[in-house]
Amino acid sequence: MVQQYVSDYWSQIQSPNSTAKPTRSLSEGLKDASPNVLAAHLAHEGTHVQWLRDGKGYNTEDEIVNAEYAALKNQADVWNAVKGAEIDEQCDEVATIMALGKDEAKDLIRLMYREEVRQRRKGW
Amino acid sequence: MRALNEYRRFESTNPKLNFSFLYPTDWQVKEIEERTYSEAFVRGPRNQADTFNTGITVTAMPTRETGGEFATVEEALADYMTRSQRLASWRELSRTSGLFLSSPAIEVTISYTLRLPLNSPVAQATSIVERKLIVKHGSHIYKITYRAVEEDYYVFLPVFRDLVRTFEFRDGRTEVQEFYPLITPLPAHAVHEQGAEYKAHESE
Repeated sequence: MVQQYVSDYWSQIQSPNSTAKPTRSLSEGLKDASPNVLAAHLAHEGTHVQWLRDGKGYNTEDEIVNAEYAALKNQADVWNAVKGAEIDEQCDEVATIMALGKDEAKDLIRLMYREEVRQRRKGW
Repeated sequence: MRALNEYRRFESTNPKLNFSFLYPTDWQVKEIEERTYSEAFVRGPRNQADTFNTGITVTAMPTRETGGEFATVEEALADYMTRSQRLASWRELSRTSGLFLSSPAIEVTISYTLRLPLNSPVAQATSIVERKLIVKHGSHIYKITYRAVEEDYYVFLPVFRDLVRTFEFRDGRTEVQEFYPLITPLPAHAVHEQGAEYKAHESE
């Protein structure tokens, strides 16, 4: 099992080198979250799992940025579809960043990106 | 300006990145190629909270007549302002229009708040200041964007000014650029200025 570092809410996804099925465990930080918020975070983390199942890696900055952009985009799409009048600071912020457009959103992701993440994911 | 030996020149073999500029030797540059834009991404130092890097990007997008989204710098600016206004605590700090390397240009500075790290239960509200120069040159619209957390913005603003002052399009024309520093040092006091901060003169 390998710690998933990009999003702190969903704590574990699996190395593609493992023979076991990928699993995810929910952080206690979301124990009181609404179903809509959970759905948005599930979309985010599910994207990361699918990214690994598709054989894509996290070995370069571009791979991490592209994976994170895809995960945030899916999180925003689900959130925008289900939120109605609900307010959630994090999901609303993600949706706003994604609405900036691909170039602006990816630039912000790159500036948030930590070299530490790439180092930890080397060899997946 | 820093000493010249503290800078290196960005030049690319990618014809879509048909420009050059000076950036600090201890900053990292990366070329990015996407379907709808090309970009030189320059990463500067990390902030004290270890959540955000200072950065400068130069993004090249085709104009509408060559398959892109926008025909003018005004259209590109309007789209950017509309989209960015949804960010928390968004404010427009300054706006300047004029010429940059003999081409029509608009520069705007905004600030907003992000909760960093993104999607984290321990996220902290972080004020970001973003300054963007949009210029139309030939068949492309270029965005030169400087972003930093508020406490780092003025620390590295001279790097952005040096990058802009040394920016050149590599399309055969030789131009000598004059750079006019900010009329007011604090963007909060420079709302809707109409002066031209950057001007250029073609030389022989």
